[in-house]
Amino acid sequence: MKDINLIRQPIGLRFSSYFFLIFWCIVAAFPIFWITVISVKLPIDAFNSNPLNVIFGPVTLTQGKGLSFIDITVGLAIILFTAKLTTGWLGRRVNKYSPNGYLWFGWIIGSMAFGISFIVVFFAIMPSMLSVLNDYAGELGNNIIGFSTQHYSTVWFERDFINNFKNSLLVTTGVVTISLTFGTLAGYGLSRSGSNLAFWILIIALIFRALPHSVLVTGYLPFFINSAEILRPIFGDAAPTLYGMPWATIAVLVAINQPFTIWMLRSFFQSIPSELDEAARVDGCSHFQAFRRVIMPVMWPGVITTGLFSFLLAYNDFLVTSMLLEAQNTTMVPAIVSMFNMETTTTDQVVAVAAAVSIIAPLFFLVMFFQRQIVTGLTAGAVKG
Amino acid sequence: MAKITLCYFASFNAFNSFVTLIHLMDAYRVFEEVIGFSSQAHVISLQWLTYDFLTSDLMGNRSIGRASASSMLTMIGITLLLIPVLRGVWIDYKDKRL
Repeated sequence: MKDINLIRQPIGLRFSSYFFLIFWCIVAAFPIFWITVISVKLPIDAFNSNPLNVIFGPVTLTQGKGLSFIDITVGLAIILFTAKLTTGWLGRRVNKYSPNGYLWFGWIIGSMAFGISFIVVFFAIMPSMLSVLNDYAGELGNNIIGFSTQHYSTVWFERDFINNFKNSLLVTTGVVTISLTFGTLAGYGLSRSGSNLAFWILIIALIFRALPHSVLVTGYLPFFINSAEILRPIFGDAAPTLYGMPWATIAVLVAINQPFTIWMLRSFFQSIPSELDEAARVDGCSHFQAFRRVIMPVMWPGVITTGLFSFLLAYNDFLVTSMLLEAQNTTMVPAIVSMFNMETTTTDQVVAVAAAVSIIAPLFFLVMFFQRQIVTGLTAGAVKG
Repeated sequence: MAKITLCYFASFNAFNSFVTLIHLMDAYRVFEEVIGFSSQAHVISLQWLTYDFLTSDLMGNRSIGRASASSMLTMIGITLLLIPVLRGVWIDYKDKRL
Protein backbone atom coordinates (compact mmCIF):
# COMPACT_ATOMS: atom_id res chain seq x y z
CA MET A 1 0.00 0.00 0.00
CA LYS A 2 2.79 2.35 0.97
CA ASP A 3 4.53 1.90 -2.38
CA ILE A 4 1.42 2.80 -4.31
CA ASN A 5 1.11 6.02 -2.32
CA LEU A 6 4.73 6.80 -3.06
CA ILE A 7 4.45 6.55 -6.83
CA ARG A 8 1.02 8.13 -7.03
CA GLN A 9 1.02 11.67 -8.38
CA PRO A 10 0.27 14.42 -5.88
CA ILE A 11 -3.28 15.78 -6.00
CA GLY A 12 -2.18 19.15 -7.30
CA LEU A 13 -0.22 17.70 -10.22
CA ARG A 14 -3.00 15.30 -11.15
CA PHE A 15 -5.60 18.04 -10.99
CA SER A 16 -3.58 20.46 -13.11
CA SER A 17 -2.69 17.85 -15.73
CA TYR A 18 -6.33 16.78 -16.10
CA PHE A 19 -7.36 20.41 -16.26
CA PHE A 20 -4.79 21.13 -18.97
CA LEU A 21 -5.83 18.02 -20.96
CA ILE A 22 -9.51 18.93 -20.89
CA PHE A 23 -8.75 22.54 -21.72
CA TRP A 24 -6.61 21.48 -24.65
CA CYS A 25 -9.27 19.07 -25.93
CA ILE A 26 -11.87 21.84 -25.85
CA VAL A 27 -9.58 24.27 -27.65
CA ALA A 28 -8.69 21.69 -30.31
CA ALA A 29 -12.19 20.34 -30.85
CA PHE A 30 -14.16 23.57 -30.65
CA PRO A 31 -13.79 24.73 -34.28
CA ILE A 32 -14.92 21.33 -35.58
CA PHE A 33 -17.84 21.26 -33.14
CA TRP A 34 -18.83 24.76 -34.19
CA ILE A 35 -18.81 24.18 -37.95
CA THR A 36 -20.81 20.98 -37.39
CA VAL A 37 -23.41 22.97 -35.44
CA ILE A 38 -23.51 25.73 -38.06
CA SER A 39 -23.91 23.30 -40.95
CA VAL A 40 -27.25 21.94 -39.71
CA LYS A 41 -28.88 25.34 -39.10
CA LEU A 42 -30.63 27.78 -41.40
CA PRO A 43 -28.42 30.82 -42.22
CA ILE A 44 -30.35 33.14 -39.87
CA ASP A 45 -29.51 30.88 -36.95
CA ALA A 46 -26.03 29.97 -38.16
CA PHE A 47 -24.81 33.58 -38.19
CA ASN A 48 -26.81 34.77 -35.20
CA SER A 49 -24.93 37.03 -32.79
CA ASN A 50 -26.17 35.07 -29.78
CA PRO A 51 -24.21 31.79 -29.46
CA LEU A 52 -27.13 30.02 -27.73
CA ASN A 53 -29.34 30.77 -30.73
CA VAL A 54 -26.68 29.21 -32.96
CA ILE A 55 -26.67 26.03 -30.89
CA PHE A 56 -30.43 25.62 -30.43
CA GLY A 57 -31.57 27.24 -33.68
CA PRO A 58 -35.03 28.72 -32.89
CA VAL A 59 -35.71 29.78 -36.50
CA THR A 60 -34.82 26.32 -37.77
CA LEU A 61 -37.18 24.88 -35.15
CA THR A 62 -40.12 27.04 -36.21
CA GLN A 63 -39.81 25.58 -39.69
CA GLY A 64 -40.44 22.16 -38.18
CA LYS A 65 -36.90 20.90 -38.66
CA GLY A 66 -35.40 19.63 -35.47
CA LEU A 67 -34.27 16.79 -33.26
CA SER A 68 -36.18 15.50 -30.28
CA PHE A 69 -34.68 14.09 -27.09
CA ILE A 70 -35.29 10.56 -28.41
CA ASP A 71 -33.56 11.32 -31.73
CA ILE A 72 -30.45 12.56 -29.97
CA THR A 73 -30.28 9.62 -27.55
CA VAL A 74 -30.80 6.97 -30.22
CA GLY A 75 -28.38 8.65 -32.62
CA LEU A 76 -25.62 8.93 -30.02
CA ALA A 77 -26.23 5.34 -28.92
CA ILE A 78 -25.88 4.07 -32.49
CA ILE A 79 -22.69 6.08 -33.02
CA LEU A 80 -21.14 4.81 -29.77
CA PHE A 81 -22.19 1.24 -30.57
CA THR A 82 -20.63 1.51 -34.04
CA ALA A 83 -17.40 2.85 -32.54
CA LYS A 84 -17.30 -0.05 -30.12
CA LEU A 85 -17.93 -2.58 -32.90
CA THR A 86 -15.21 -1.17 -35.14
CA THR A 87 -12.58 -1.24 -32.41
CA GLY A 88 -13.12 -4.84 -31.32
CA TRP A 89 -15.74 -7.00 -32.95
CA LEU A 90 -14.96 -6.15 -36.59
CA GLY A 91 -11.27 -6.99 -36.22
CA ARG A 92 -12.06 -10.39 -34.67
CA ARG A 93 -14.59 -11.23 -37.43
CA VAL A 94 -12.11 -10.27 -40.14
CA ASN A 95 -9.36 -12.32 -38.52
CA LYS A 96 -11.68 -15.31 -38.25
CA TYR A 97 -13.21 -15.35 -41.72
CA SER A 98 -10.50 -14.09 -44.07
CA PRO A 99 -8.61 -16.91 -45.82
CA ASN A 100 -5.01 -17.45 -44.85
CA GLY A 101 -2.66 -14.80 -46.19
CA TYR A 102 -5.45 -12.56 -47.48
CA LEU A 103 -6.03 -10.60 -44.30
CA TRP A 104 -5.72 -7.26 -46.10
CA PHE A 105 -8.43 -8.32 -48.55
CA GLY A 106 -10.66 -9.35 -45.65
CA TRP A 107 -10.11 -5.90 -44.10
CA ILE A 108 -11.09 -4.13 -47.34
CA ILE A 109 -14.27 -6.20 -47.76
CA GLY A 110 -15.11 -6.05 -44.05
CA SER A 111 -14.66 -2.30 -43.68
CA MET A 112 -16.57 -1.55 -46.90
CA ALA A 113 -19.50 -3.76 -45.84
CA PHE A 114 -19.42 -2.20 -42.40
CA GLY A 115 -19.35 1.36 -43.73
CA ILE A 116 -22.20 0.72 -46.16
CA SER A 117 -24.37 -0.94 -43.51
CA PHE A 118 -23.70 1.95 -41.12
CA ILE A 119 -24.76 4.46 -43.79
CA VAL A 120 -27.93 2.46 -44.54
CA VAL A 121 -28.85 2.12 -40.86
CA PHE A 122 -27.97 5.66 -39.88
CA PHE A 123 -29.38 7.59 -42.82
CA ALA A 124 -32.23 5.38 -44.07
CA ILE A 125 -33.63 3.04 -41.40
CA MET A 126 -33.09 5.17 -38.29
CA PRO A 127 -34.87 8.40 -39.45
CA SER A 128 -38.03 6.58 -40.57
CA MET A 129 -38.17 4.50 -37.38
CA LEU A 130 -37.64 7.59 -35.25
CA SER A 131 -40.38 9.61 -36.92
CA VAL A 132 -42.87 6.87 -35.97
CA LEU A 133 -41.43 6.69 -32.47
CA ASN A 134 -41.62 10.48 -31.97
CA ASP A 135 -45.35 10.51 -32.70
CA TYR A 136 -46.05 8.13 -29.83
CA ALA A 137 -43.57 9.59 -27.34
CA GLY A 138 -45.52 12.74 -26.42
CA GLU A 139 -43.40 15.32 -24.60
CA LEU A 140 -40.09 13.55 -25.25
CA GLY A 141 -40.87 13.44 -28.96
CA ASN A 142 -41.02 17.23 -29.37
CA ASN A 143 -38.18 18.90 -31.21
CA ILE A 144 -35.75 20.69 -28.91
CA ILE A 145 -32.77 21.47 -31.16
CA GLY A 146 -32.96 22.89 -34.66
CA PHE A 147 -31.56 20.45 -37.20
CA SER A 148 -31.82 20.55 -40.97
CA THR A 149 -29.93 18.45 -43.49
CA GLN A 150 -30.92 20.60 -46.44
CA HIS A 151 -27.45 22.13 -46.85
CA TYR A 152 -25.91 18.69 -47.09
CA SER A 153 -28.32 17.60 -49.81
CA THR A 154 -27.67 20.90 -51.61
CA VAL A 155 -23.92 20.46 -51.56
CA TRP A 156 -23.86 16.76 -52.44
CA PHE A 157 -26.51 16.63 -55.14
CA GLU A 158 -27.16 20.13 -56.52
CA ARG A 159 -23.56 21.37 -56.39
CA ASP A 160 -22.27 18.04 -57.69
CA PHE A 161 -19.93 17.53 -54.75
CA ILE A 162 -20.36 13.80 -55.34
CA ASN A 163 -18.25 14.22 -58.47
CA ASN A 164 -15.48 15.87 -56.43
CA PHE A 165 -15.77 13.02 -53.96
CA LYS A 166 -15.28 10.45 -56.73
CA ASN A 167 -12.21 12.32 -57.97
CA SER A 168 -10.78 12.40 -54.44
CA LEU A 169 -11.44 8.69 -54.10
CA LEU A 170 -9.67 7.94 -57.39
CA VAL A 171 -6.66 10.11 -56.56
CA THR A 172 -6.21 8.87 -52.99
CA THR A 173 -6.60 5.19 -53.94
CA GLY A 174 -4.06 5.59 -56.71
CA VAL A 175 -1.56 7.47 -54.55
CA VAL A 176 -1.78 5.05 -51.62
CA THR A 177 -1.52 1.93 -53.82
CA ILE A 178 1.40 3.13 -55.91
CA SER A 179 3.38 4.75 -53.11
CA LEU A 180 3.02 1.73 -50.83
CA THR A 181 3.93 -0.77 -53.56
CA PHE A 182 7.13 1.03 -54.51
CA GLY A 183 7.78 2.38 -51.03
CA THR A 184 7.89 -1.05 -49.36
CA LEU A 185 10.20 -2.45 -52.03
CA ALA A 186 12.50 0.57 -51.95
CA GLY A 187 12.45 0.86 -48.17
CA TYR A 188 13.30 -2.83 -47.76
CA GLY A 189 16.13 -2.64 -50.25
CA LEU A 190 17.61 0.52 -48.78
CA SER A 191 17.35 -0.70 -45.19
CA ARG A 192 19.21 -3.94 -45.95
CA SER A 193 21.92 -2.34 -48.07
CA GLY A 194 24.98 -0.80 -46.45
CA SER A 195 26.43 0.69 -49.61
CA ASN A 196 27.30 4.34 -50.20
CA LEU A 197 24.89 4.46 -53.11
CA ALA A 198 21.96 3.68 -50.82
CA PHE A 199 23.02 6.51 -48.52
CA TRP A 200 23.18 9.01 -51.38
CA ILE A 201 19.79 7.90 -52.68
CA LEU A 202 18.38 8.56 -49.23
CA ILE A 203 20.00 12.01 -49.10
CA ILE A 204 18.53 12.86 -52.50
CA ALA A 205 15.14 11.65 -51.26
CA LEU A 206 15.53 13.95 -48.25
CA ILE A 207 16.19 16.92 -50.52
CA PHE A 208 13.16 16.08 -52.63
CA ARG A 209 11.04 15.78 -49.50
CA ALA A 210 12.13 19.27 -48.56
CA LEU A 211 11.25 20.87 -51.90
CA PRO A 212 8.05 22.92 -51.81
CA HIS A 213 5.24 21.40 -53.84
CA SER A 214 4.95 24.46 -56.03
CA VAL A 215 8.40 23.76 -57.47
CA LEU A 216 7.28 20.33 -58.68
CA VAL A 217 4.02 21.73 -60.02
CA THR A 218 5.92 24.39 -62.00
CA GLY A 219 7.87 21.56 -63.57
CA TYR A 220 4.86 19.44 -64.39
CA LEU A 221 2.34 22.06 -65.52
CA PRO A 222 3.77 22.96 -68.97
CA PHE A 223 4.19 19.26 -69.74
CA PHE A 224 0.64 18.47 -68.66
CA ILE A 225 -0.84 21.25 -70.82
CA ASN A 226 1.15 20.32 -73.92
CA SER A 227 1.26 16.57 -73.33
CA ALA A 228 -0.87 15.73 -76.40
CA GLU A 229 1.70 17.41 -78.60
CA ILE A 230 4.73 16.03 -76.78
CA LEU A 231 3.46 12.44 -76.63
CA ARG A 232 2.22 12.32 -80.24
CA PRO A 233 5.39 10.69 -81.63
CA ILE A 234 4.88 7.80 -79.17
CA PHE A 235 1.12 7.33 -78.92
CA GLY A 236 0.00 8.82 -82.24
CA ASP A 237 -3.39 10.52 -82.24
CA ALA A 238 -4.44 8.76 -79.02
CA ALA A 239 -1.99 10.89 -77.00
CA PRO A 240 -3.95 12.36 -74.07
CA THR A 241 -3.93 15.88 -72.71
CA LEU A 242 -2.99 15.18 -69.10
CA TYR A 243 -4.16 18.58 -67.88
CA GLY A 244 -7.54 18.18 -66.21
CA MET A 245 -7.32 14.40 -65.80
CA PRO A 246 -7.74 13.35 -62.14
CA TRP A 247 -5.74 10.14 -62.60
CA ALA A 248 -2.80 12.07 -64.04
CA THR A 249 -2.35 14.02 -60.79
CA ILE A 250 -1.61 10.71 -59.09
CA ALA A 251 1.85 10.81 -60.72
CA VAL A 252 2.64 14.24 -59.28
CA LEU A 253 1.34 13.40 -55.81
CA VAL A 254 3.32 10.16 -55.74
CA ALA A 255 6.43 12.10 -56.79
CA ILE A 256 5.88 14.48 -53.87
CA ASN A 257 5.07 11.75 -51.37
CA GLN A 258 7.50 8.99 -52.29
CA PRO A 259 10.64 10.35 -50.56
CA PHE A 260 8.82 10.55 -47.26
CA THR A 261 7.26 7.10 -47.72
CA ILE A 262 10.65 5.57 -48.44
CA TRP A 263 12.27 7.19 -45.39
CA MET A 264 9.50 6.12 -43.10
CA LEU A 265 9.23 2.54 -44.36
CA ARG A 266 13.01 2.21 -44.27
CA SER A 267 13.04 3.06 -40.58
CA PHE A 268 10.32 0.46 -39.98
CA PHE A 269 12.24 -2.20 -41.92
CA GLN A 270 15.37 -1.38 -39.93
CA SER A 271 13.54 -2.25 -36.73
CA ILE A 272 12.97 -5.78 -38.11
CA PRO A 273 16.10 -7.87 -37.44
CA SER A 274 17.85 -9.05 -40.59
CA GLU A 275 18.23 -12.51 -39.01
CA LEU A 276 14.58 -12.97 -39.94
CA ASP A 277 15.21 -12.80 -43.69
CA GLU A 278 18.38 -14.86 -43.30
CA ALA A 279 16.33 -17.59 -41.60
CA ALA A 280 13.78 -17.47 -44.39
CA ARG A 281 16.55 -17.73 -46.98
CA VAL A 282 18.04 -20.73 -45.20
CA ASP A 283 14.63 -22.39 -45.21
CA GLY A 284 14.55 -22.12 -49.00
CA CYS A 285 12.69 -18.91 -49.78
CA SER A 286 13.84 -16.78 -52.72
CA HIS A 287 14.64 -13.13 -51.99
CA PHE A 288 11.18 -12.01 -53.05
CA GLN A 289 9.43 -14.81 -51.18
CA ALA A 290 11.30 -13.89 -48.00
CA PHE A 291 10.14 -10.31 -48.45
CA ARG A 292 6.52 -11.23 -49.13
CA ARG A 293 5.94 -14.15 -46.79
CA VAL A 294 8.21 -13.37 -43.84
CA ILE A 295 8.91 -9.65 -43.69
CA MET A 296 5.61 -8.16 -44.87
CA PRO A 297 3.40 -9.93 -42.27
CA VAL A 298 5.35 -8.29 -39.43
CA MET A 299 5.36 -4.95 -41.25
CA TRP A 300 1.61 -4.27 -41.16
CA PRO A 301 1.69 -1.52 -38.50
CA GLY A 302 4.34 0.29 -40.52
CA VAL A 303 2.52 -0.14 -43.80
CA ILE A 304 -0.76 1.07 -42.34
CA THR A 305 0.84 4.12 -40.71
CA THR A 306 2.69 5.04 -43.89
CA GLY A 307 -0.43 4.41 -45.96
CA LEU A 308 -2.34 6.74 -43.69
CA PHE A 309 0.21 9.50 -44.21
CA SER A 310 0.05 9.02 -48.01
CA PHE A 311 -3.72 9.05 -47.83
CA LEU A 312 -3.71 12.31 -45.86
CA LEU A 313 -1.29 13.95 -48.30
CA ALA A 314 -3.45 13.07 -51.30
CA TYR A 315 -6.69 13.82 -49.49
CA ASN A 316 -5.67 17.21 -48.09
CA ASP A 317 -3.77 18.39 -51.12
CA PHE A 318 -4.80 21.75 -52.51
CA LEU A 319 -1.91 23.06 -54.57
CA VAL A 320 -1.39 20.17 -56.99
CA THR A 321 -5.02 19.34 -57.67
CA SER A 322 -6.12 22.95 -58.03
CA MET A 323 -3.31 23.67 -60.49
CA LEU A 324 -3.52 20.57 -62.62
CA LEU A 325 -7.31 20.06 -62.74
CA GLU A 326 -10.02 22.23 -64.21
CA ALA A 327 -12.15 24.14 -61.72
CA GLN A 328 -15.30 22.17 -62.60
CA ASN A 329 -13.72 18.78 -62.14
CA THR A 330 -11.40 18.92 -59.15
CA THR A 331 -11.04 17.02 -55.87
CA MET A 332 -12.79 17.98 -52.65
CA VAL A 333 -10.42 20.49 -51.04
CA PRO A 334 -10.08 22.88 -54.01
CA ALA A 335 -13.85 22.63 -54.52
CA ILE A 336 -14.47 23.76 -50.93
CA VAL A 337 -11.96 26.60 -51.23
CA SER A 338 -13.67 27.87 -54.38
CA MET A 339 -17.04 27.64 -52.62
CA PHE A 340 -15.74 29.85 -49.82
CA ASN A 341 -14.07 32.33 -52.16
CA MET A 342 -17.16 32.98 -54.31
CA GLU A 343 -19.14 36.19 -53.83
CA THR A 344 -21.87 34.53 -51.87
CA THR A 345 -25.07 34.82 -49.91
CA THR A 346 -25.21 33.48 -46.36
CA THR A 347 -26.94 30.33 -47.63
CA ASP A 348 -23.98 29.62 -49.91
CA GLN A 349 -21.64 30.08 -46.98
CA VAL A 350 -23.52 27.54 -44.86
CA VAL A 351 -23.47 25.17 -47.84
CA ALA A 352 -19.69 25.57 -48.02
CA VAL A 353 -19.48 24.85 -44.28
CA ALA A 354 -21.55 21.69 -44.83
CA ALA A 355 -19.05 20.63 -47.50
CA ALA A 356 -16.20 21.27 -45.09
CA VAL A 357 -17.88 19.12 -42.45
CA SER A 358 -18.59 16.26 -44.84
CA ILE A 359 -14.92 16.11 -45.83
CA ILE A 360 -14.10 15.22 -42.20
CA ALA A 361 -16.36 12.14 -42.03
CA PRO A 362 -14.15 9.69 -44.02
CA LEU A 363 -11.20 10.61 -41.80
CA PHE A 364 -13.19 9.65 -38.70
CA PHE A 365 -14.05 6.27 -40.21
CA LEU A 366 -10.45 5.65 -41.19
CA VAL A 367 -9.01 6.48 -37.80
CA MET A 368 -11.67 4.39 -36.06
CA PHE A 369 -10.87 1.34 -38.20
CA PHE A 370 -7.13 1.55 -37.88
CA GLN A 371 -6.61 3.19 -34.49
CA ARG A 372 -4.89 0.23 -32.87
CA GLN A 373 -2.48 -0.32 -35.76
CA ILE A 374 -1.82 3.41 -35.98
CA VAL A 375 -0.82 3.64 -32.33
CA THR A 376 1.54 0.65 -32.59
CA GLY A 377 2.91 2.04 -35.84
CA LEU A 378 3.51 5.50 -34.46
CA THR A 379 5.47 4.22 -31.49
CA ALA A 380 7.42 1.61 -33.47
CA GLY A 381 8.88 3.71 -36.29
CA ALA A 382 11.34 6.50 -35.87
CA VAL A 383 10.34 8.96 -38.57
CA LYS A 384 7.25 11.09 -38.14
CA GLY A 385 5.70 13.71 -40.35
CA MET B 1 19.55 27.21 -20.06
CA ALA B 2 22.93 27.23 -21.78
CA LYS B 3 23.33 23.61 -20.77
CA ILE B 4 20.02 22.64 -22.32
CA THR B 5 20.98 24.37 -25.55
CA LEU B 6 24.30 22.56 -25.52
CA CYS B 7 22.60 19.20 -24.96
CA TYR B 8 20.21 19.99 -27.74
CA PHE B 9 22.94 20.67 -30.24
CA ALA B 10 24.99 17.72 -29.03
CA SER B 11 22.10 15.39 -29.71
CA PHE B 12 21.61 16.85 -33.16
CA ASN B 13 21.83 13.44 -34.79
CA ALA B 14 20.06 12.11 -37.83
CA PHE B 15 16.72 11.57 -36.15
CA ASN B 16 16.51 14.95 -34.47
CA SER B 17 17.74 16.71 -37.54
CA PHE B 18 15.07 14.96 -39.59
CA VAL B 19 12.30 16.25 -37.34
CA THR B 20 13.86 19.72 -37.28
CA LEU B 21 14.10 19.59 -41.03
CA ILE B 22 10.44 18.69 -41.46
CA HIS B 23 9.33 21.53 -39.21
CA LEU B 24 11.65 24.03 -40.88
CA MET B 25 10.42 23.09 -44.32
CA ASP B 26 6.78 23.22 -43.34
CA ALA B 27 7.28 26.68 -41.90
CA TYR B 28 9.26 27.86 -44.92
CA ARG B 29 6.78 26.69 -47.50
CA VAL B 30 3.62 27.90 -45.74
CA PHE B 31 0.92 28.08 -48.36
CA GLU B 32 -2.52 26.83 -47.41
CA GLU B 33 -2.80 29.38 -44.63
CA VAL B 34 -2.37 32.20 -47.13
CA ILE B 35 -5.12 30.73 -49.32
CA GLY B 36 -7.47 29.85 -46.46
CA PHE B 37 -7.43 33.26 -44.83
CA SER B 38 -7.00 35.20 -48.09
CA SER B 39 -4.11 37.04 -46.51
CA GLN B 40 -2.33 37.82 -49.79
CA ALA B 41 -2.85 41.57 -49.33
CA HIS B 42 -0.68 41.52 -46.20
CA VAL B 43 1.54 38.45 -46.20
CA ILE B 44 2.61 36.18 -49.02
CA SER B 45 5.04 33.28 -49.11
CA LEU B 46 7.33 32.12 -51.90
CA GLN B 47 5.04 29.17 -52.61
CA TRP B 48 2.08 31.47 -52.93
CA LEU B 49 4.05 33.66 -55.32
CA THR B 50 4.74 30.66 -57.55
CA TYR B 51 1.10 29.62 -57.35
CA ASP B 52 -0.02 33.10 -58.30
CA PHE B 53 2.28 33.17 -61.36
CA LEU B 54 1.02 29.75 -62.43
CA THR B 55 -2.71 30.52 -62.25
CA SER B 56 -4.02 31.80 -65.56
CA ASP B 57 -4.92 35.50 -65.67
CA LEU B 58 -7.98 37.04 -67.34
CA MET B 59 -6.47 36.49 -70.80
CA GLY B 60 -5.81 32.82 -70.00
CA ASN B 61 -2.03 33.22 -69.94
CA ARG B 62 0.19 31.66 -67.32
CA SER B 63 3.56 33.29 -66.66
CA ILE B 64 5.45 30.03 -66.46
CA GLY B 65 8.84 31.73 -66.87
CA ARG B 66 8.30 33.93 -63.82
CA ALA B 67 6.98 30.95 -61.87
CA SER B 68 10.14 29.01 -62.74
CA ALA B 69 12.25 31.92 -61.51
CA SER B 70 10.43 32.10 -58.19
CA SER B 71 10.61 28.34 -57.73
CA MET B 72 14.37 28.50 -58.38
CA LEU B 73 14.64 31.13 -55.63
CA THR B 74 12.61 28.89 -53.31
CA MET B 75 14.92 25.98 -54.08
CA ILE B 76 18.02 28.07 -53.31
CA GLY B 77 16.50 29.01 -49.96
CA ILE B 78 15.72 25.38 -49.21
CA THR B 79 19.28 24.33 -50.05
CA LEU B 80 20.69 26.97 -47.69
CA LEU B 81 18.39 25.75 -44.92
CA LEU B 82 19.33 22.15 -45.63
CA ILE B 83 23.13 22.47 -45.42
CA PRO B 84 23.53 22.13 -41.60
CA VAL B 85 20.99 19.30 -41.49
CA LEU B 86 22.64 17.38 -44.30
CA ARG B 87 25.99 17.86 -42.58
CA GLY B 88 24.50 16.27 -39.46
CA VAL B 89 23.20 13.30 -41.44
CA TRP B 90 26.58 12.85 -43.11
CA ILE B 91 28.53 12.94 -39.83
CA ASP B 92 26.12 10.46 -38.28
CA TYR B 93 26.49 8.14 -41.25
CA LYS B 94 30.30 8.33 -41.12
CA ASP B 95 30.28 7.54 -37.38
CA LYS B 96 28.12 4.49 -37.95
CA ARG B 97 30.41 3.17 -40.67
CA LEU B 98 33.56 3.41 -38.55
